[in-house]
Amino acid sequence: MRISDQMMTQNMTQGIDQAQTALARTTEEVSSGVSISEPSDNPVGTGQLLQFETARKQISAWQSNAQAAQSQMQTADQTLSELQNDLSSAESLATEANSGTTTTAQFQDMSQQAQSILNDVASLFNTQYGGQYIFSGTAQEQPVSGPDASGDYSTSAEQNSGTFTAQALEIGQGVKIPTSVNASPLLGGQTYTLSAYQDASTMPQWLQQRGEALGQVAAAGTSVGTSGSPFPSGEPSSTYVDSLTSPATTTTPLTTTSVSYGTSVVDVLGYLQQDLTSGNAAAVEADLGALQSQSETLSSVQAALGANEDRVQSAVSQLEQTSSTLQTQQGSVENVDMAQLISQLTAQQTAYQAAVAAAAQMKLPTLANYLT
Amino acid sequence: MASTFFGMDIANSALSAAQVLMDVAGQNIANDATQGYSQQVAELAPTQPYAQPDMGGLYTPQLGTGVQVQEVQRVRAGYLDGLFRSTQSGESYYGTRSNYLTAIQSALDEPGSSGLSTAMNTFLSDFQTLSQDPQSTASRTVVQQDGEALAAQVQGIYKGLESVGQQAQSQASLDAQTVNTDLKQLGNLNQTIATAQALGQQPNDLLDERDNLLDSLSQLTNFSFTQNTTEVGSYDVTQVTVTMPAQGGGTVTLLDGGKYGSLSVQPTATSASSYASESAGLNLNAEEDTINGAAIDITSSDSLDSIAQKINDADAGVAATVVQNGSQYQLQLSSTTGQAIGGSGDDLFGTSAQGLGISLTSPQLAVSAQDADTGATSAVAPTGGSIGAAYAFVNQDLNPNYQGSLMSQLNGAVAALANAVNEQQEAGYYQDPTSGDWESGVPFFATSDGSSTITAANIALSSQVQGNTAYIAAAGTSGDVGDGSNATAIADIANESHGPLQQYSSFVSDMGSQVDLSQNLQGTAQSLLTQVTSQRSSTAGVSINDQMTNLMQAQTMYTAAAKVSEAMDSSLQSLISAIQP
Repeated sequence: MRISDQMMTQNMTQGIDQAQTALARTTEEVSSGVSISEPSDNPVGTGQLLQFETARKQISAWQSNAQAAQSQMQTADQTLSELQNDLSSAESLATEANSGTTTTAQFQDMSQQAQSILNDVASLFNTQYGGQYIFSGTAQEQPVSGPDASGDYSTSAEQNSGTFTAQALEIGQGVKIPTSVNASPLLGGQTYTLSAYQDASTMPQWLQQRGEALGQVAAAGTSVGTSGSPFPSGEPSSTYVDSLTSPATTTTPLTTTSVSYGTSVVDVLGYLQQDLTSGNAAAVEADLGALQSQSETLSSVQAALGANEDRVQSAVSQLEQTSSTLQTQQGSVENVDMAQLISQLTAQQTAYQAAVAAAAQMKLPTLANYLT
Repeated sequence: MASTFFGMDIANSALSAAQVLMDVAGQNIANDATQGYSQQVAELAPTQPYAQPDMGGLYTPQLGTGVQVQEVQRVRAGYLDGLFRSTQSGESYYGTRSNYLTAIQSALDEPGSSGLSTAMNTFLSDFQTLSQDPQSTASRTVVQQDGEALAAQVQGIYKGLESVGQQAQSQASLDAQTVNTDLKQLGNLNQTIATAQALGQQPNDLLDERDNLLDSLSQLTNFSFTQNTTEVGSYDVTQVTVTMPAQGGGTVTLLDGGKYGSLSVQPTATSASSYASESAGLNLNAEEDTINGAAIDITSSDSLDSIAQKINDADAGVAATVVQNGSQYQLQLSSTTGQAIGGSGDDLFGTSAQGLGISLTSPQLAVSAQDADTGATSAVAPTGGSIGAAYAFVNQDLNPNYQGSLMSQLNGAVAALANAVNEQQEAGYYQDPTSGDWESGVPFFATSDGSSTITAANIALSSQVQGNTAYIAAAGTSGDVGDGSNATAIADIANESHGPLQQYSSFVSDMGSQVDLSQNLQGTAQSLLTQVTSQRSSTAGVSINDQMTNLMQAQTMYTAAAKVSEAMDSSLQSLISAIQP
């Protein structure tokens, strides 16, 4: 092939250009440590990187949710333990009062203790976390209970009506964890509203017992009222007797006034306090039974919370693992193989130096140099 | 018998031929570095021999009379020129295309923490934070601010793409001017060359100049070049013709001998076209039409030409031209202000059954060519060179209506995100900040231009969300301030398979592979081009060694011819001195 002078120049320039381009590209990868600085470097890899980023962002959002859930649950856990302590104190108070040797003065003393337990329980149910009532679920701005104008304690409408909705946070793909404790079994319960001579056997055992102790409920076949006659046969086994203020043997005529009984923990503690005030040991015994069953309910609420805490805990470690797996995957797409790259760089440097050195020798002698 | 000085004449012809050889070598060496120069060779031939019947013998001998320079020709392989130009057209197309795409790629800034992907992820995960405390004004404000930042970034990217498109348009316009200047010069060269060749001259340098111009034209678009040789008198005259395929069939001749046409590019934001066939008769209803607010009074007797005239007379920032498209005539509107064209009326914009059926969407970059012979203007769709790259880039890649285009993919991802968020937001509830009542959610995103379709060009926050963060519908049920389930549902849009985030990442991947592809194709064309250039240079290029050899040969010939002359002289001298006393 005939070689013209311009061919030599062109080929030389091209050779240097190519060597330099390759060298620049490798140098960029070595200095940045990443193999993808633009989508065109690796289009498929770029798509993967963007999806990894989305996944990473989500994991960190879930981690943040899990943390928030954990803090909220810890607060609830602590509150429930304190409630359990209060219930135990109330139980021992009731046991002590029931010993049979309690004097009136001691009853008054115990009544005051019961009152302070009630106050404590009521305020525990209104525990706030970050300005939100933790036992209110999504109705977080409403307190659960509190003394009303007349000093009576009540529970919120939501808890009573059973419309409690737990707040829930997402801690994984499609995984939602309730962060608020459903204390409805403790706070809700049922309210029994009875009028004179109505069937009282629908009420829990302890309420019937307490009613009997107070003379408000009469077992079937017992004599009540002024006439002293027993309930006619065919009446329910337990019947509410319309006499709120006096024992069953009172001579006060029966009226048609009705009464309602609640079964929430606040109600029970209220009854205990009343019964201690009145020194009615039999009623206190009934209250003790109620307290024991409430304490069991509380344990199951605690257990449910504990299970959720465990779920969050395992989700947290799972998220951490996913996050590190993701990082490894991202690294394998994005990071350069430094050892391989360095040897490539050395080879390219040599190639470039050779190209430049060859160019320096480019002024080859022609025939012109030898003609005289 | 030859004359006494016959031999001196032979030596003389050799001396002058040697001098020409040396001149040609000198010229070649002088142009060793000249780009596009073809080496020249002087072809020598013996002069007419001289018959000598009086010398006796059986034959009549013919005596040679010397040497002459027959022609000085350039050395060039014509078939390599065609290969070079078609390769260069492709190389320039992919080179320009990869420049435009790389500009888009830079505008997106992916992968990185400042890309749109990060903004979308951040915006959606803000809703997770909101779900932790749906009442928190701080969390709501973060959602609103990040939503606004997202909309602004999308619009910024759209403007970035648009400005690359505008650069492509103005570059194509400049390229068309270069084409027109080159065509004019080529016309002049064709004429000058024809005149010289008809006189038997060899205009080597003019031929080189013409070839160089054709080389540079091939960078700009996909022209076809043909060389025709005709005989004028006893000499061959070579002329170059430049043609280009017209849109819809046929060809446009842009250079024919001394006549030249022109190429024009309308760098408009929007232009429009109609494919109504005039021969079929225009079905006009003489209703009043408008273009950019100006009334165009069309009557049923109007022709395409008269409608174009009326539009031009209306002075509404729109230029109307009638161009031929295959067998049909087409009314082409182009904006003279660079603003989009708007209009109304059945005659111009109705369906083609009712009127001209002008579509106001595409193409956005119109190229038309004026024929050198007929002067008629036809629409062309360039497919090669830098003009072809700009044409495809603006009309396809940046065209939101072109299926699968980059712009339509970007719009798709943005609209998918906005619509998914809006839909979920409307499924939720918010507490009205003034009345305190619980209401069903309102859209989060809206358009900034009042259009009903959200695109990358117009995405903005809805006025309610913009005005008050209370309109962010975090609650899944009415009346629960602590309910963040709808916020969680919005955040979950990030999980959707084939959801907006995946659409966006496949858009980025697609763009990356298009940049990669165009760079690779350019690389391939580039190495082919280098090879062709080498081949061309191997034939046409100057080599000092060659020229030195030629020079030596000529020098030796000159010295020897001088010796011949001297020998003749001394022979004559001895004769003259013999007869002198």
